[in-house]
Amino acid sequence: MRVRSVLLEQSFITALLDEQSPTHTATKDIYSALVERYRAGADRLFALSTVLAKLPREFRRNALAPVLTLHVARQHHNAARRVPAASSPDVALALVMLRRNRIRTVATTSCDFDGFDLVVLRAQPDELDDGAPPQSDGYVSYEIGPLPAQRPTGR
Amino acid sequence: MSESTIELADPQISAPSTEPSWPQRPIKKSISAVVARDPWFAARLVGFTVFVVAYIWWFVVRGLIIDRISVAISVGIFIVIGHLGRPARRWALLAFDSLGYLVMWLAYEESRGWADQAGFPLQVEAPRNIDRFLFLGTDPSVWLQRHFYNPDQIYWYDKVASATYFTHFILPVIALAVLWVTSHREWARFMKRFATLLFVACTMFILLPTVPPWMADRDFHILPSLARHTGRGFSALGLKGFVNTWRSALTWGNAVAAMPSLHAGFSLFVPAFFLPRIKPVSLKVLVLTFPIIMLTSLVYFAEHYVIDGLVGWTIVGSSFLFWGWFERRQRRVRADRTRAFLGQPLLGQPLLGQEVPGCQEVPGCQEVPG
Repeated sequence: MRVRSVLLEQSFITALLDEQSPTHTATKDIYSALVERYRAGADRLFALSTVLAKLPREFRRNALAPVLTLHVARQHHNAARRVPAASSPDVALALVMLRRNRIRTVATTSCDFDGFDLVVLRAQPDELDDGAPPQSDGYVSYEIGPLPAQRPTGR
Repeated sequence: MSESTIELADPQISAPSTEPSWPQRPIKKSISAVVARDPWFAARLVGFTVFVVAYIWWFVVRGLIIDRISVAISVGIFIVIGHLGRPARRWALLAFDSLGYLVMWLAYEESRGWADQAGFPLQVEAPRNIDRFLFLGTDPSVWLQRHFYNPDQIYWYDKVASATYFTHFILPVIALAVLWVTSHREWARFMKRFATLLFVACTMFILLPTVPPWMADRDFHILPSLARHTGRGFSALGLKGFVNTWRSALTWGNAVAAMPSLHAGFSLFVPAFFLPRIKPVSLKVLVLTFPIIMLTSLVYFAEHYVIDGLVGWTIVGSSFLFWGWFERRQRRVRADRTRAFLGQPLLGQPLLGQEVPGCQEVPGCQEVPG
Protein backbone atom coordinates (compact mmCIF):
# COMPACT_ATOMS: atom_id res chain seq x y z
CA MET A 1 0.00 0.00 0.00
CA ARG A 2 1.40 3.37 -1.01
CA VAL A 3 1.23 5.85 1.85
CA ARG A 4 -0.43 9.13 0.92
CA SER A 5 0.87 12.37 2.39
CA VAL A 6 -1.77 14.97 3.25
CA LEU A 7 -1.13 18.57 4.26
CA LEU A 8 -3.69 19.94 6.71
CA GLU A 9 -3.87 23.52 5.58
CA GLN A 10 -4.32 26.45 7.97
CA SER A 11 -8.04 26.99 7.24
CA PHE A 12 -8.71 23.30 7.88
CA ILE A 13 -7.00 23.29 11.28
CA THR A 14 -8.64 26.58 12.23
CA ALA A 15 -12.07 25.16 11.38
CA LEU A 16 -11.27 22.01 13.35
CA LEU A 17 -10.40 24.08 16.39
CA ASP A 18 -13.26 26.56 16.08
CA GLU A 19 -16.60 24.97 16.99
CA GLN A 20 -18.44 28.05 15.71
CA SER A 21 -16.97 27.71 12.23
CA PRO A 22 -19.57 26.84 9.54
CA THR A 23 -17.27 24.09 8.30
CA HIS A 24 -16.45 22.68 11.74
CA THR A 25 -18.59 19.53 11.49
CA ALA A 26 -17.46 18.69 7.98
CA THR A 27 -13.85 19.35 8.92
CA LYS A 28 -14.19 17.08 11.94
CA ASP A 29 -15.69 14.32 9.78
CA ILE A 30 -12.93 14.59 7.19
CA TYR A 31 -10.28 14.70 9.89
CA SER A 32 -11.75 11.60 11.56
CA ALA A 33 -11.56 9.77 8.24
CA LEU A 34 -7.98 10.94 7.75
CA VAL A 35 -7.05 9.80 11.25
CA GLU A 36 -8.64 6.45 10.49
CA ARG A 37 -6.53 6.17 7.37
CA TYR A 38 -3.48 7.23 9.37
CA ARG A 39 -4.21 4.51 11.91
CA ALA A 40 -4.36 1.95 9.11
CA GLY A 41 -1.05 3.23 7.72
CA ALA A 42 -2.65 4.63 4.55
CA ASP A 43 -2.04 8.32 5.21
CA ARG A 44 0.62 10.54 6.72
CA LEU A 45 -0.68 13.85 8.02
CA PHE A 46 1.35 17.04 8.00
CA ALA A 47 0.91 20.64 9.03
CA LEU A 48 3.22 23.63 8.82
CA SER A 49 5.18 24.62 11.90
CA THR A 50 3.97 28.19 11.43
CA VAL A 51 0.38 26.97 11.79
CA LEU A 52 1.00 24.56 14.65
CA ALA A 53 2.93 27.16 16.64
CA LYS A 54 -0.20 29.27 17.00
CA LEU A 55 -2.34 26.47 18.42
CA PRO A 56 -3.06 25.74 22.08
CA ARG A 57 -0.62 23.14 23.38
CA GLU A 58 -3.43 20.84 24.53
CA PHE A 59 -5.00 20.82 21.07
CA ARG A 60 -1.66 20.15 19.37
CA ARG A 61 -0.81 17.25 21.70
CA ASN A 62 -4.16 15.53 21.59
CA ALA A 63 -6.37 16.45 18.65
CA LEU A 64 -3.38 16.73 16.32
CA ALA A 65 -1.34 13.89 17.84
CA PRO A 66 -0.99 12.07 14.48
CA VAL A 67 0.08 15.22 12.65
CA LEU A 68 3.74 15.58 11.75
CA THR A 69 5.39 18.97 11.61
CA LEU A 70 6.76 20.43 8.40
CA HIS A 71 9.33 22.90 9.64
CA VAL A 72 9.24 26.18 7.81
CA ALA A 73 12.57 27.98 7.42
CA ARG A 74 13.45 31.43 6.19
CA GLN A 75 14.27 30.07 2.74
CA HIS A 76 10.68 28.79 2.46
CA HIS A 77 9.30 32.23 3.34
CA ASN A 78 11.61 33.76 0.74
CA ALA A 79 10.41 31.28 -1.88
CA ALA A 80 6.78 31.97 -0.92
CA ARG A 81 7.25 35.68 -1.63
CA ARG A 82 8.04 34.76 -5.23
CA VAL A 83 4.80 32.81 -5.82
CA PRO A 84 2.59 35.09 -7.90
CA ALA A 85 -0.38 32.78 -8.32
CA ALA A 86 -1.23 32.42 -4.63
CA SER A 87 -4.18 34.28 -3.16
CA SER A 88 -2.42 34.96 0.16
CA PRO A 89 1.03 34.62 1.76
CA ASP A 90 -0.19 31.59 3.75
CA VAL A 91 -1.34 29.83 0.60
CA ALA A 92 1.97 30.69 -1.08
CA LEU A 93 3.87 29.21 1.85
CA ALA A 94 1.71 26.08 1.75
CA LEU A 95 2.39 25.71 -1.98
CA VAL A 96 6.13 26.01 -1.41
CA MET A 97 6.05 23.38 1.33
CA LEU A 98 3.87 21.10 -0.79
CA ARG A 99 6.40 21.23 -3.60
CA ARG A 100 9.51 20.92 -1.43
CA ASN A 101 8.06 17.92 0.43
CA ARG A 102 6.42 16.32 -2.64
CA ILE A 103 2.97 16.30 -1.04
CA ARG A 104 0.09 15.97 -3.52
CA THR A 105 -2.99 16.11 -1.28
CA VAL A 106 -4.23 19.03 0.76
CA ALA A 107 -7.13 19.18 3.22
CA THR A 108 -8.68 22.61 3.36
CA THR A 109 -11.91 24.55 3.70
CA SER A 110 -11.06 27.11 1.03
CA CYS A 111 -10.97 27.01 -2.76
CA ASP A 112 -7.45 28.45 -2.92
CA PHE A 113 -5.87 25.16 -3.96
CA ASP A 114 -8.44 24.01 -6.52
CA GLY A 115 -6.60 25.61 -9.41
CA PHE A 116 -3.46 23.56 -8.88
CA ASP A 117 -2.64 19.99 -9.83
CA LEU A 118 -3.34 18.72 -6.32
CA VAL A 119 -5.95 16.45 -4.83
CA VAL A 120 -7.98 18.81 -2.66
CA LEU A 121 -10.11 17.45 0.18
CA ARG A 122 -12.42 20.35 0.87
CA ALA A 123 -14.79 20.63 3.82
CA GLN A 124 -18.18 22.05 2.86
CA PRO A 125 -20.08 24.43 5.15
CA ASP A 126 -22.41 22.62 7.59
CA GLU A 127 -25.64 24.35 6.63
CA LEU A 128 -26.49 25.46 3.13
CA ASP A 129 -29.42 27.81 2.82
CA ASP A 130 -30.78 26.74 -0.55
CA GLY A 131 -28.92 23.61 -1.40
CA ALA A 132 -26.62 25.54 -3.71
CA PRO A 133 -22.99 24.63 -3.81
CA PRO A 134 -20.70 26.85 -1.79
CA GLN A 135 -19.02 29.52 -3.81
CA SER A 136 -15.41 30.36 -3.51
CA ASP A 137 -14.21 33.90 -3.10
CA GLY A 138 -14.66 34.89 -6.70
CA TYR A 139 -12.71 31.94 -8.08
CA VAL A 140 -15.09 29.39 -9.54
CA SER A 141 -14.33 29.46 -13.24
CA TYR A 142 -12.95 25.93 -13.36
CA GLU A 143 -15.61 24.19 -11.25
CA ILE A 144 -16.77 20.97 -12.89
CA GLY A 145 -20.36 19.94 -12.55
CA PRO A 146 -22.47 20.10 -9.43
CA LEU A 147 -20.98 19.61 -6.02
CA PRO A 148 -22.09 16.61 -3.93
CA ALA A 149 -25.53 16.72 -2.40
CA GLN A 150 -26.13 18.51 0.85
CA ARG A 151 -25.15 16.60 3.94
CA PRO A 152 -27.96 14.56 5.43
CA THR A 153 -29.61 16.26 8.37
CA GLY A 154 -29.65 14.90 11.90
CA ARG A 155 -25.94 14.52 12.25
CA MET B 1 -29.91 30.86 -53.01
CA SER B 2 -27.58 33.28 -51.38
CA GLU B 3 -24.22 32.28 -50.06
CA SER B 4 -25.32 32.84 -46.48
CA THR B 5 -28.32 30.55 -46.95
CA ILE B 6 -26.08 27.78 -48.25
CA GLU B 7 -23.92 28.08 -45.16
CA LEU B 8 -26.91 27.82 -42.86
CA ALA B 9 -28.17 24.80 -44.76
CA ASP B 10 -24.93 22.98 -44.20
CA PRO B 11 -26.01 19.93 -42.13
CA GLN B 12 -22.78 19.99 -40.19
CA ILE B 13 -23.70 23.41 -38.87
CA SER B 14 -27.43 23.41 -38.64
CA ALA B 15 -28.13 19.87 -37.39
CA PRO B 16 -28.21 19.45 -33.62
CA SER B 17 -25.19 17.63 -32.32
CA THR B 18 -25.78 14.06 -31.24
CA GLU B 19 -22.48 13.93 -29.31
CA PRO B 20 -22.90 14.00 -25.51
CA SER B 21 -21.61 17.22 -24.03
CA TRP B 22 -19.02 16.25 -21.42
CA PRO B 23 -18.07 18.83 -18.86
CA GLN B 24 -14.76 20.43 -19.69
CA ARG B 25 -11.97 19.28 -17.42
CA PRO B 26 -10.42 22.39 -15.95
CA ILE B 27 -6.90 23.27 -16.85
CA LYS B 28 -4.92 23.21 -13.63
CA LYS B 29 -1.67 24.89 -12.91
CA SER B 30 1.22 22.69 -12.00
CA ILE B 31 2.78 23.65 -8.68
CA SER B 32 6.18 23.42 -10.31
CA ALA B 33 5.04 26.15 -12.70
CA VAL B 34 4.23 28.61 -9.92
CA VAL B 35 6.71 27.64 -7.21
CA ALA B 36 10.34 28.05 -8.21
CA ARG B 37 12.64 25.09 -7.78
CA ASP B 38 14.97 25.12 -4.80
CA PRO B 39 17.91 27.20 -6.08
CA TRP B 40 20.35 24.74 -4.50
CA PHE B 41 18.92 21.81 -6.45
CA ALA B 42 21.33 22.31 -9.36
CA ALA B 43 24.32 22.49 -7.00
CA ARG B 44 23.27 19.23 -5.34
CA LEU B 45 22.74 17.56 -8.71
CA VAL B 46 26.19 18.58 -9.96
CA GLY B 47 27.71 17.48 -6.64
CA PHE B 48 26.08 14.05 -6.84
CA THR B 49 27.19 13.60 -10.45
CA VAL B 50 30.80 14.43 -9.57
CA PHE B 51 30.58 12.12 -6.54
CA VAL B 52 29.25 9.17 -8.55
CA VAL B 53 31.87 9.61 -11.29
CA ALA B 54 34.65 9.86 -8.69
CA TYR B 55 33.33 6.82 -6.81
CA ILE B 56 33.21 4.69 -9.95
CA TRP B 57 36.70 5.83 -10.94
CA TRP B 58 38.00 4.92 -7.48
CA PHE B 59 36.22 1.56 -7.62
CA VAL B 60 37.78 0.63 -10.96
CA VAL B 61 41.28 1.99 -10.30
CA ARG B 62 41.80 1.58 -6.55
CA GLY B 63 39.11 -0.91 -5.56
CA LEU B 64 35.96 -0.74 -3.51
CA ILE B 65 35.95 1.31 -0.32
CA ILE B 66 35.35 -1.06 2.57
CA ASP B 67 37.40 0.07 5.55
CA ARG B 68 35.25 1.86 8.11
CA ILE B 69 37.05 5.23 7.98
CA SER B 70 36.95 5.48 4.19
CA VAL B 71 33.32 4.39 4.12
CA ALA B 72 32.49 7.04 6.73
CA ILE B 73 34.31 9.73 4.72
CA SER B 74 32.64 8.79 1.42
CA VAL B 75 29.18 8.60 3.01
CA GLY B 76 29.87 11.88 4.80
CA ILE B 77 30.73 13.63 1.50
CA PHE B 78 27.58 12.21 -0.12
CA ILE B 79 25.38 13.40 2.73
CA VAL B 80 26.96 16.85 2.86
CA ILE B 81 26.26 17.22 -0.88
CA GLY B 82 22.68 16.15 -0.26
CA HIS B 83 22.30 18.78 2.45
CA LEU B 84 23.70 21.72 0.47
CA GLY B 85 21.36 24.66 0.85
CA ARG B 86 19.12 22.92 3.38
CA PRO B 87 17.83 24.86 6.39
CA ALA B 88 19.94 25.03 9.56
CA ARG B 89 17.49 22.74 11.32
CA ARG B 90 18.26 19.94 8.86
CA TRP B 91 21.99 20.37 9.48
CA ALA B 92 21.46 20.21 13.22
CA LEU B 93 19.42 17.05 12.76
CA LEU B 94 22.17 15.62 10.58
CA ALA B 95 24.77 16.31 13.28
CA PHE B 96 22.59 14.60 15.88
CA ASP B 97 21.94 11.59 13.62
CA SER B 98 25.63 11.30 12.78
CA LEU B 99 26.44 11.10 16.47
CA GLY B 100 23.97 8.23 16.90
CA TYR B 101 25.35 6.51 13.82
CA LEU B 102 28.91 6.89 15.12
CA VAL B 103 27.99 5.43 18.51
CA MET B 104 26.35 2.47 16.77
CA TRP B 105 29.43 1.65 14.67
CA LEU B 106 31.84 2.18 17.58
CA ALA B 107 29.78 -0.23 19.66
CA TYR B 108 29.88 -2.69 16.76
CA GLU B 109 33.68 -2.37 16.49
CA GLU B 110 34.14 -2.62 20.25
CA SER B 111 32.05 -5.77 20.42
CA ARG B 112 34.95 -7.54 18.70
CA GLY B 113 37.17 -6.81 21.67
CA TRP B 114 34.44 -7.74 24.13
CA ALA B 115 33.99 -11.04 22.32
CA ASP B 116 37.68 -11.84 22.85
CA GLN B 117 37.57 -10.85 26.53
CA ALA B 118 34.29 -12.58 27.39
CA GLY B 119 35.75 -15.99 26.61
CA PHE B 120 32.55 -17.84 25.85
CA PRO B 121 33.13 -21.33 24.44
CA LEU B 122 33.79 -21.56 20.73
CA GLN B 123 31.07 -23.32 18.73
CA VAL B 124 32.93 -25.70 16.44
CA GLU B 125 30.78 -28.74 15.77
CA ALA B 126 27.28 -27.49 16.60
CA PRO B 127 26.71 -25.45 13.40
CA ARG B 128 28.17 -28.23 11.27
CA ASN B 129 25.85 -30.75 12.94
CA ILE B 130 22.80 -28.52 12.44
CA ASP B 131 23.64 -28.16 8.74
CA ARG B 132 24.08 -31.91 8.45
CA PHE B 133 20.70 -32.38 10.12
CA LEU B 134 19.04 -29.86 7.77
CA PHE B 135 20.58 -31.47 4.68
CA LEU B 136 20.13 -35.11 5.70
CA GLY B 137 23.75 -35.80 6.54
CA THR B 138 25.35 -33.74 3.79
CA ASP B 139 27.69 -30.80 4.41
CA PRO B 140 26.36 -28.11 2.02
CA SER B 141 29.75 -26.35 1.61
CA VAL B 142 31.50 -29.60 0.86
CA TRP B 143 28.78 -30.70 -1.57
CA LEU B 144 28.77 -27.36 -3.43
CA GLN B 145 32.55 -27.23 -3.75
CA ARG B 146 32.74 -30.84 -4.84
CA HIS B 147 30.21 -30.24 -7.63
CA PHE B 148 30.99 -26.69 -8.76
CA TYR B 149 34.44 -25.64 -7.61
CA ASN B 150 37.38 -26.07 -9.94
CA PRO B 151 40.69 -24.55 -8.70
CA ASP B 152 41.98 -24.29 -12.27
CA GLN B 153 38.95 -22.70 -13.82
CA ILE B 154 36.77 -19.71 -12.95
CA TYR B 155 33.20 -20.14 -14.18
CA TRP B 156 30.47 -17.53 -14.65
CA TYR B 157 28.82 -18.51 -11.40
CA ASP B 158 32.08 -17.90 -9.53
CA LYS B 159 31.94 -14.30 -10.77
CA VAL B 160 28.25 -13.94 -9.88
CA ALA B 161 28.81 -15.38 -6.42
CA SER B 162 31.84 -13.14 -5.82
CA ALA B 163 30.02 -10.02 -7.01
CA THR B 164 27.04 -10.91 -4.82
CA TYR B 165 29.32 -11.41 -1.81
CA PHE B 166 30.92 -7.99 -2.24
CA THR B 167 27.60 -6.12 -2.53
CA HIS B 168 27.53 -6.53 1.25
CA PHE B 169 30.02 -3.68 1.52
CA ILE B 170 28.10 -1.19 -0.58
CA LEU B 171 24.39 -2.03 -0.70
CA PRO B 172 23.38 -1.13 2.89
CA VAL B 173 25.65 1.92 2.83
CA ILE B 174 24.11 3.21 -0.42
CA ALA B 175 20.57 2.57 0.87
CA LEU B 176 21.35 4.35 4.11
CA ALA B 177 23.02 7.35 2.47
CA VAL B 178 20.25 7.79 -0.11
CA LEU B 179 17.55 7.63 2.58
CA TRP B 180 19.52 10.05 4.73
CA VAL B 181 19.46 12.58 1.92
CA THR B 182 15.95 12.01 0.57
CA SER B 183 13.77 11.29 3.59
CA HIS B 184 14.78 11.59 7.20
CA ARG B 185 11.60 9.79 8.26
CA GLU B 186 12.43 6.74 6.15
CA TRP B 187 16.03 6.90 7.27
CA ALA B 188 14.87 6.70 10.89
CA ARG B 189 12.66 3.69 10.07
CA PHE B 190 15.60 2.02 8.33
CA MET B 191 18.03 2.77 11.15
CA LYS B 192 15.77 1.43 13.90
CA ARG B 193 15.60 -1.92 12.15
CA PHE B 194 19.25 -1.87 11.15
CA ALA B 195 20.51 -1.00 14.64
CA THR B 196 18.37 -3.79 16.08
CA LEU B 197 19.92 -6.27 13.66
CA LEU B 198 23.45 -5.12 14.53
CA PHE B 199 22.75 -5.13 18.26
CA VAL B 200 21.39 -8.68 18.26
CA ALA B 201 24.19 -9.87 15.95
CA CYS B 202 26.91 -8.33 18.14
CA THR B 203 25.39 -9.84 21.25
CA MET B 204 25.44 -13.22 19.56
CA PHE B 205 29.04 -12.73 18.41
CA ILE B 206 29.98 -12.31 22.09
CA LEU B 207 27.82 -15.07 23.54
CA LEU B 208 28.15 -17.54 20.71
CA PRO B 209 31.53 -17.29 18.95
CA THR B 210 31.18 -19.68 16.03
CA VAL B 211 33.73 -21.18 13.72
CA PRO B 212 33.03 -20.78 9.98
CA PRO B 213 33.40 -23.81 7.66
CA TRP B 214 36.80 -22.79 6.24
CA MET B 215 38.20 -22.59 9.78
CA ALA B 216 36.50 -25.83 10.79
CA ASP B 217 38.51 -27.46 8.04
CA ARG B 218 41.82 -25.56 8.43
CA ASP B 219 42.12 -25.44 12.25
CA PHE B 220 39.83 -28.16 13.57
CA HIS B 221 39.80 -30.73 10.73
CA ILE B 222 36.15 -31.60 11.22
CA LEU B 223 35.26 -31.07 7.54
CA PRO B 224 36.89 -32.35 4.38
CA SER B 225 39.24 -29.98 2.56
CA LEU B 226 37.51 -26.71 1.71
CA ALA B 227 38.73 -23.77 -0.36
CA ARG B 228 38.01 -20.21 0.70
CA HIS B 229 37.90 -18.81 -2.81
CA THR B 230 35.76 -15.72 -2.21
CA GLY B 231 37.84 -13.15 -4.07
CA ARG B 232 38.64 -15.31 -7.11
CA GLY B 233 35.59 -14.36 -9.16
CA PHE B 234 36.06 -10.70 -8.36
CA SER B 235 39.70 -10.82 -9.42
CA ALA B 236 38.58 -12.43 -12.66
CA LEU B 237 36.37 -9.40 -13.24
CA GLY B 238 39.48 -7.22 -13.16
CA LEU B 239 38.84 -5.74 -9.72
CA LYS B 240 42.04 -6.90 -8.03
CA GLY B 241 42.48 -3.70 -6.01
CA PHE B 242 39.37 -4.39 -4.05
CA VAL B 243 40.27 -7.99 -3.34
CA ASN B 244 43.61 -6.86 -1.87
CA THR B 245 41.79 -4.34 0.37
CA TRP B 246 39.35 -7.04 1.41
CA ARG B 247 42.15 -9.49 2.27
CA SER B 248 43.81 -6.90 4.49
CA ALA B 249 40.43 -6.20 6.11
CA LEU B 250 40.12 -9.87 6.97
CA THR B 251 43.18 -9.64 9.19
CA TRP B 252 41.46 -7.26 11.63
CA GLY B 253 38.05 -8.91 11.35
CA ASN B 254 36.61 -11.23 13.99
CA ALA B 255 37.10 -14.63 12.39
CA VAL B 256 34.70 -16.42 14.73
CA ALA B 257 31.82 -13.97 14.23
CA ALA B 258 30.00 -16.39 11.96
CA MET B 259 26.70 -16.70 13.82
CA PRO B 260 24.58 -14.94 12.57
CA SER B 261 25.73 -14.15 9.06
CA LEU B 262 25.48 -10.39 8.54
CA HIS B 263 26.15 -10.95 4.84
CA ALA B 264 22.95 -12.98 4.65
CA GLY B 265 21.17 -10.59 7.00
CA PHE B 266 22.00 -7.44 5.04
CA SER B 267 21.16 -9.13 1.74
CA LEU B 268 17.61 -9.69 3.01
CA PHE B 269 17.38 -6.45 4.97
CA VAL B 270 17.76 -3.99 2.10
CA PRO B 271 15.35 -5.70 -0.33
CA ALA B 272 12.84 -6.27 2.48
CA PHE B 273 12.88 -2.59 3.39
CA PHE B 274 12.18 -1.46 -0.15
CA LEU B 275 9.85 -4.34 -1.06
CA PRO B 276 6.58 -2.46 -0.26
CA ARG B 277 7.57 0.20 -2.81
CA ILE B 278 8.00 -2.34 -5.59
CA LYS B 279 4.73 -2.95 -7.41
CA PRO B 280 5.28 -5.75 -9.99
CA VAL B 281 5.09 -9.13 -8.26
CA SER B 282 7.67 -10.54 -10.68
CA LEU B 283 10.14 -7.84 -9.61
CA LYS B 284 9.39 -8.55 -5.95
CA VAL B 285 10.20 -12.22 -6.53
CA LEU B 286 13.37 -11.29 -8.41
CA VAL B 287 14.50 -9.01 -5.59
CA LEU B 288 13.87 -11.75 -3.03
CA THR B 289 16.09 -14.18 -4.91
CA PHE B 290 19.04 -11.94 -4.00
CA PRO B 291 19.35 -13.16 -0.38
CA ILE B 292 19.07 -16.74 -1.60
CA ILE B 293 21.92 -16.18 -4.07
CA MET B 294 23.91 -14.52 -1.27
CA LEU B 295 23.47 -17.43 1.14
CA THR B 296 24.29 -19.96 -1.57
CA SER B 297 27.46 -17.97 -2.36
CA LEU B 298 28.46 -17.81 1.31
CA VAL B 299 28.09 -21.56 1.66
CA TYR B 300 29.88 -22.20 -1.64
CA PHE B 301 32.82 -20.04 -0.48
CA ALA B 302 32.86 -21.90 2.87
CA GLU B 303 32.41 -18.53 4.60
CA HIS B 304 29.26 -19.58 6.46
CA TYR B 305 27.09 -22.53 7.33
CA VAL B 306 23.50 -22.45 6.12
CA ILE B 307 22.29 -22.12 9.70
CA ASP B 308 24.31 -18.89 10.09
CA GLY B 309 22.38 -17.38 7.21
CA LEU B 310 19.03 -18.67 8.42
CA VAL B 311 19.64 -17.13 11.84
CA GLY B 312 20.61 -13.84 10.15
CA TRP B 313 17.36 -13.86 8.17
CA THR B 314 15.39 -14.68 11.32
CA ILE B 315 16.86 -11.67 13.12
CA VAL B 316 16.02 -9.44 10.14
CA GLY B 317 12.46 -10.78 10.11
CA SER B 318 12.10 -10.33 13.87
CA SER B 319 13.44 -6.78 13.68
CA PHE B 320 10.93 -5.89 10.94
CA LEU B 321 8.08 -7.55 12.84
CA PHE B 322 8.96 -5.81 16.09
CA TRP B 323 9.28 -2.33 14.60
CA GLY B 324 6.23 -2.84 12.40
CA TRP B 325 4.22 -3.75 15.50
CA PHE B 326 5.70 -0.82 17.44
CA GLU B 327 4.88 1.69 14.69
CA ARG B 328 1.31 0.34 14.33
CA ARG B 329 0.87 0.64 18.10
CA GLN B 330 2.22 4.19 18.05
CA ARG B 331 -0.26 5.13 15.31
CA ARG B 332 -3.12 3.52 17.20
CA VAL B 333 -2.26 5.35 20.43
CA ARG B 334 -2.09 8.69 18.64
CA ALA B 335 -5.30 8.07 16.71
CA ASP B 336 -7.09 7.07 19.93
CA ARG B 337 -5.84 10.21 21.65
CA THR B 338 -7.30 12.24 18.81
CA ARG B 339 -10.61 10.37 18.89
CA ALA B 340 -10.86 10.82 22.64
CA PHE B 341 -10.20 14.55 22.30
CA LEU B 342 -12.76 14.88 19.53
CA GLY B 343 -15.28 12.95 21.65
CA GLN B 344 -15.46 9.92 19.37
CA PRO B 345 -15.49 6.26 20.41
CA LEU B 346 -12.14 4.48 20.39
CA LEU B 347 -11.54 1.74 17.88
CA GLY B 348 -9.58 -1.44 18.22
CA GLN B 349 -6.39 -2.51 16.52
CA PRO B 350 -6.64 -1.95 12.74
CA LEU B 351 -6.62 -5.13 10.74
CA LEU B 352 -4.17 -5.68 7.94
CA GLY B 353 -5.78 -4.89 4.60
CA GLN B 354 -8.70 -3.19 6.33
CA GLU B 355 -10.71 -0.80 4.14
CA VAL B 356 -9.94 2.80 4.96
CA PRO B 357 -12.45 5.56 4.34
CA GLY B 358 -12.04 7.83 1.35
CA CYS B 359 -13.38 11.35 0.90
CA GLN B 360 -16.48 10.09 -0.97
CA GLU B 361 -17.61 8.24 2.17
CA VAL B 362 -17.34 11.33 4.36
CA PRO B 363 -20.33 13.69 4.44
CA GLY B 364 -19.30 17.24 3.73
CA CYS B 365 -16.11 16.27 1.93
CA GLN B 366 -15.58 17.32 -1.64
CA GLU B 367 -12.61 15.83 -3.43
CA VAL B 368 -11.25 17.94 -6.25
CA PRO B 369 -8.99 15.66 -8.30
CA GLY B 370 -5.53 16.84 -9.18
